[in-house]
Amino acid sequence: MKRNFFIAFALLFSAVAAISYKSLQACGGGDWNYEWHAIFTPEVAELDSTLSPMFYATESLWYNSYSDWNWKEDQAMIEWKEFFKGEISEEAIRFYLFTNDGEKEFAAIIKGANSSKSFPELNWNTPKMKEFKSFLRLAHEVDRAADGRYFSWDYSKKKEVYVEDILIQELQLKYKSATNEIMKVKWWFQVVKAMYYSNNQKALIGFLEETKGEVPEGTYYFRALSYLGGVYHSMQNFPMANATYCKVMAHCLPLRFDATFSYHALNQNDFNFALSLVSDPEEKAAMWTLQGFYTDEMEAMKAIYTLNPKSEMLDLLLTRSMNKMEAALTNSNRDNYREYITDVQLSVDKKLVEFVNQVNNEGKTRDKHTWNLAAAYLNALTGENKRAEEELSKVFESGSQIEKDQARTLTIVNEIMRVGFEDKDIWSLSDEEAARTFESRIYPHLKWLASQGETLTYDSYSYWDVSSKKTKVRVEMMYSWTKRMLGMLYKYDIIGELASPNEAYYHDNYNIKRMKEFMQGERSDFEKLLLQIYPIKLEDIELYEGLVLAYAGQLEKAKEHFVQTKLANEELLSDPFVAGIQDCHDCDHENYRGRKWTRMTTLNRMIQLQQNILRNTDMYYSALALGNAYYNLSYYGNSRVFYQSKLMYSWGNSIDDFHSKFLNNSNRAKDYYRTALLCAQSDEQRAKCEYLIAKCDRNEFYNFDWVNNEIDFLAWDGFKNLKSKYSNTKFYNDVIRECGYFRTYLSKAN
Amino acid sequence: MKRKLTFIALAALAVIVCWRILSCNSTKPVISFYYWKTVFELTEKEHQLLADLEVKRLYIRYFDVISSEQGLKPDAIIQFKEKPTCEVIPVVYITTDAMLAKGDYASNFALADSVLLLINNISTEEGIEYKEVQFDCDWNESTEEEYFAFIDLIKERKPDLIVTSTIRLHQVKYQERTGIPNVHSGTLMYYNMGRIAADSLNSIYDRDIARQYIAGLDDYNLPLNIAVPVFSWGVQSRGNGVVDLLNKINFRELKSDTLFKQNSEREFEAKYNGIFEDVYFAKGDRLKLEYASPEDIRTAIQDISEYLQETPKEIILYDLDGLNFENQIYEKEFFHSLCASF
Repeated sequence: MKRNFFIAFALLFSAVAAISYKSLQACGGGDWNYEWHAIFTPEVAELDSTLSPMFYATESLWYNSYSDWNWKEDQAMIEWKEFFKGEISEEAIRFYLFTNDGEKEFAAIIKGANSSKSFPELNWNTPKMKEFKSFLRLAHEVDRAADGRYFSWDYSKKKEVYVEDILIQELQLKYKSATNEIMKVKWWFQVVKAMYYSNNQKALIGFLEETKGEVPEGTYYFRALSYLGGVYHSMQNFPMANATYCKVMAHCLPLRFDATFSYHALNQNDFNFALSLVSDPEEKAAMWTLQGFYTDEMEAMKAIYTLNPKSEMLDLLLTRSMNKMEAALTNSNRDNYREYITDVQLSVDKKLVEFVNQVNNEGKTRDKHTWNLAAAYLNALTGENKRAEEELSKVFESGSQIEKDQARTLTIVNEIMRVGFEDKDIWSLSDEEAARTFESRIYPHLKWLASQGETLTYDSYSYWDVSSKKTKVRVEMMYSWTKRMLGMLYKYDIIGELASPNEAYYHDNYNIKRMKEFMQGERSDFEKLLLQIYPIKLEDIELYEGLVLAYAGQLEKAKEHFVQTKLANEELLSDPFVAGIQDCHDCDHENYRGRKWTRMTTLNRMIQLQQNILRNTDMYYSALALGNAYYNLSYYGNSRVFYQSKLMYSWGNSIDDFHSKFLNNSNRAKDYYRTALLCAQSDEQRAKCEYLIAKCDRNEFYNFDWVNNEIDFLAWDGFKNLKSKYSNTKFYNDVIRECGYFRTYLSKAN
Repeated sequence: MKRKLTFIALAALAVIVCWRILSCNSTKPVISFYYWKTVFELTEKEHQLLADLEVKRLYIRYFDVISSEQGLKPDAIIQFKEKPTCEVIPVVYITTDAMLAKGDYASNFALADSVLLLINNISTEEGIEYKEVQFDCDWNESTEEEYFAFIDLIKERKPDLIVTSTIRLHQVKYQERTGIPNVHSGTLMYYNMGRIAADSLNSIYDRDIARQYIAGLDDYNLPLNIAVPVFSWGVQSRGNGVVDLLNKINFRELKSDTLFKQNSEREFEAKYNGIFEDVYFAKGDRLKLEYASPEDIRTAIQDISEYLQETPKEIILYDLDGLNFENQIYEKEFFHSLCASF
């Protein structure tokens, strides 16, 4: 903070070098997603926009972005237009004041040119233009010192440049002789700035004392005070510096951010002293605000409340303390409802609850509803749920839209906490009656919350997209927290799964049966809502059941599920009944031009092949094709699409542990290859079967038995047989050509 | 046949032993320092340290290269208030952002030229002669190409200049992914290895973490010097969360500040709400001091020497600041004995 101070000043108070402001603005960001960390929305306080950078931001000091930097430029334009009264165009004024090209062309004028390229018609010798020229020339000189403190590739520029005394004297002369009111203030401010960037900053203290009352207390006056604060700051006189910043904070809205940025937090004794330096109640409140911003909001709120309960700053600090307080909701990692709400209740600062309740009861604040909401939130978390409900109803009665929306989200919080606080015996919502009461209270608000976003699925995972939400209150943490809480509240119930899905839920056939009945039965509005946001649908479950049966070889039974789901018609990207020497499913997909197979048609064909085998017809081809199918439907084959679906949790190279037992398994394929081998009628056919069996052995070894580098090569039985029995076949030579592993085997065997 | 083999083995062993003995005698590492502050002005104590440790070379951070809206630019350029008396190796810290942004920038401004020019201007103006520069950049897979190209360009522009680079532990472990820069030598930064957390971990040095990384040293194809930490910092935490990181804490001042009670050798706790070193501490906030003790440094050097292919030429202490040597007491011969252990 201290280190940045100097740079900050160089930036904040440089009038001509407006272009350089942008760099800090960019660092300010605006990318933080505050939605994830908080339910309480500081915007409900509807504060002046100059205070919003001071809202609580989780990961940086400033909220959203820095304040508006352009106002100084806008103000200067108004003044110059007023000064020129139409003598030159607005465009020309802007060009010379604020653009790099303007600066270059102006330099030529100073060197004696009569006119400038962009505005050749300008006569630089009228009295007003002469004044403009003097101002630009001298202000540029001052800015050279202000800008000289940046780092650049040019080392000679790096050394600090100070404004020379002679320049200060010239500016003072201009100030004293100025007759035009606008110019008088502008020259006065240039003297201030020049003194700040001189070798003798302290002179500024005397100059401001001398000229007291000579300039109106407008923005230039407060910008000058900010420089004065900077002088005290560099003298390490922090109480005086702070006292000066407080004046700025209290009386000059556009400079509030700058004052906050520059404030130096103090220890209790120093702070008390600093406080004694100001007498104006607004300035005192400002000082408390700044101190509270960097240290403890609570003490500051109490002090400000005594000074002026209607202060906006009080509401600002309230929003900050609420956002800090609600970390209690995320700090507890418990997955047990009762333990969780106890954690939360204990971690909320009781003094804060007491203070907010007191202020709220007294009703003296500027914006009553913000306090109703804060009180509701705190009471909701600490077991005073009836009271919270009363506070929220006041907001529903007469609040603005954003306040009402916040009341909705806080109602959800209140109702969720209320269940356990009102009945200390409840560990989860297993009691029918209690559940129905809870659901009827929460439902309308939950429905509203759900309507703010859309559940989107990516592979097996779902996320909530609120890019088109209508409300201005924060809903993302609200939504995830609510789901987490419902998951805990209905831990052993289907509702728990709907709210907070568990990957292992469908591993249990009883759960499958229960969920299917639930999905197909008559449901309450509350249940329908949860079903609506639940990313898994009946068709996903049918597909999953079908897949599990198919891999278990129960093809007819699998079909009973496949016919229930349109997902069975999704296309595979290659021919699952053909197996190559190499496994390269990308190559298979790329080259595939044949019949389009779907999950369903694949299954039908497998059933047909199975029947052929049972009937003892076309044995070799049927067994080979069925072996290929089981191989290709596994992780190793070319038809992974067959299993890739929400409940399998297996995509690309990642195979879910639970499903690995059949997705990484080649046993069924191997059995059919063995049958094919027995029924083969030629050496070519046998050679092929031997090789395909070896592929299965290889997969199994590397997946389950291989221990880090210990064995990097094995001669599979299939390889041995291929070499010893079928080296006369064409297939043997094909394998030599395509399979490096086999070539290694041959070279080792020889 | 068997006898012949035995003879060859014995001869090879003899060569290795002789080489080890010879190399130990001739090339024991020396102690150097990094200087990382923005103003070069040494206290009496710091001058004394340089003399006591017989320091011949100072690695002085000249400036950082950062990415800004105006393109890449230098930041925190050093200001010399006195002329260094040791040999100076200018160091330039290049932020990862700068390397990520360089793609857009290189087309209109050659970064290498600007960097060389600035190093040269600073040195000329301050009367410093240099024949070596070091670049410090936490490059990874996504910035490797830019950083290495930058190094190559520097070498191309100034073929006589010795160019070295800092090397971080992850760059050793994942050398196949991050590559090895084409430089004269590297300096292995043997610190900042853990995450900054409220728990009892030490993010500056953790032997267990370090050992997970150094196995890659035995086939790291670049001569390395070793940088070891003598600095410390404090991690401020509230509950389980880290609030702030405090650099340059004076341990003595911390211990005598009434704001804190000392919970353990390295942990302090705020007794009431207050401010320390311009940082606000709420009652109950903890401040955990992190540093590598002399014992840690000795173990670190032992661990590294097991894996290094060549004896390092230098052990570089990070960083030269009297405060570090006030906070921690090293026995008089400590650093020399470290060098002797090779």
